[in-house]
Parts: sequence; structure tokens; C-alpha cells
Amino acid sequence: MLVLARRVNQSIMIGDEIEVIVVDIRGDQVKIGIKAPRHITVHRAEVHQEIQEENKKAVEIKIAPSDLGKLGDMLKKKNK
Amino acid sequence: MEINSKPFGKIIIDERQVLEFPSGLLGFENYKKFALIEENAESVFKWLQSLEEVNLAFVLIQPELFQPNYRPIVPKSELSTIGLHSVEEALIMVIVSIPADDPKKMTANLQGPILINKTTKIGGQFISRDENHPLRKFLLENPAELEKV
Repeated sequence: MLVLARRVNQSIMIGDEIEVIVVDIRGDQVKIGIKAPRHITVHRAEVHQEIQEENKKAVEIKIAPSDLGKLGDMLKKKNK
Repeated sequence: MEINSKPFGKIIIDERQVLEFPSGLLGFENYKKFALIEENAESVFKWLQSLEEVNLAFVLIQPELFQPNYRPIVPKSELSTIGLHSVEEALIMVIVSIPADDPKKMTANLQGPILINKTTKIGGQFISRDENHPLRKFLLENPAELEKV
């Protein structure tokens, strides 16, 4: 892994199209700006894994259709 | 056609209810054929039932029922994988998690919505780039709010 030291407002280039800028540093948190072409998708590394885990939790569902119907009625009432 | 479903057992569905998810869902990439089923036309919740594994079924809800202004931010390049140009063209559903011990603490995943091309019936799970779209949005009871009372 390449490790580079950067200060606030300094950046690194990845290829010719992707620029990563250190926007702000506060304590142990770093704000990072990313300039990249539209076709490059950027998100926090943990997001994918969090959604995978949430899907796995959701699929473990054990609820009778009638109970689900009741929850649906409660939700309808709440959002009227 | 007849299918085996987790919530309702053997049921007959219309071919138009069959959906294809070329990339599967996150964590379930190998399952690509689903059916969108519901108990009846008034049902708030729908089921995304795998046609390849009967135990794989997700509860879905249309977000406009509880958050009418919900509009996921998804790059055009990703939408093109299901043949769409904008989120507005999609049927938008989100996955609901229901804790077995306390169903009222059910949450909806607004961060990873399911988008479906209504014409081709091709769908996928996407990541909304809007940081205000939480992984777990409480639908009925919010434990944090209850504590304040």
C-alpha cells in the first residue's frame, strides 16, 4: 500500500481523472473531497457491508402474513 | 405459473410479477430471479420472493407511504445497468427489517433501495448517495423518541 503524508487542502491524483483532497482535519476525523468522473462510483467502504448485513437481518424475518397485515394497518394510520 | 413462497406456501402468480435482478441483492448476489407478491391489493407490505430459494424472501414497502419526498441519489451510470435514465422512472421499494421480539421496532432501509424498471422488470439494489437516507429508518416506534417521553 502506498502511504502519502498530506496537509489540509493538499491532494493526490489517482490516474489522470481522480483527485482526492484533504478538506479538513479535526481530531481523529478527516474530511476528504473526491473529484472523479461520473462513471466512477465512490462511497464509504463500510456502506456495502452494512447493507449486506442489513439484508441478511431482513431475510431472517419470521412473521405471519396476518401479523404483517396488522403492522401495515398501524403504519397506514400513523401516516394518514 | 405456480411458485413456492415463504409467506404463503404454494401460490399462482402472473408472469408479470416475475423480476430479474442481474446482480442479485447485496450479500445475495447469486439469486437473480424474484417475484413481487402481496397478500392482497390493499397490502402495505409486499414480498420479494426468490424463485430459486423459497426461504429467501424480503418484506418491501413503497417509501412514499411514509416518506413522500424520498428520492434516492444514484449515479446515471448505475441506473443504466437496469436500463433507466432517472430514478423517477423506477418503481422504488425499500427493504423492511422486522425484529422478531419487537415487530413495532421495524425499520426500512432507505440507504439501499430496490429500483425496478417497470417496463423490462429488471431490478437491482442501489446505494443512495444522500447521506440523509439511513440504513434503518423506524417506521412505527422510534426507541430514541420513546426514551425522551
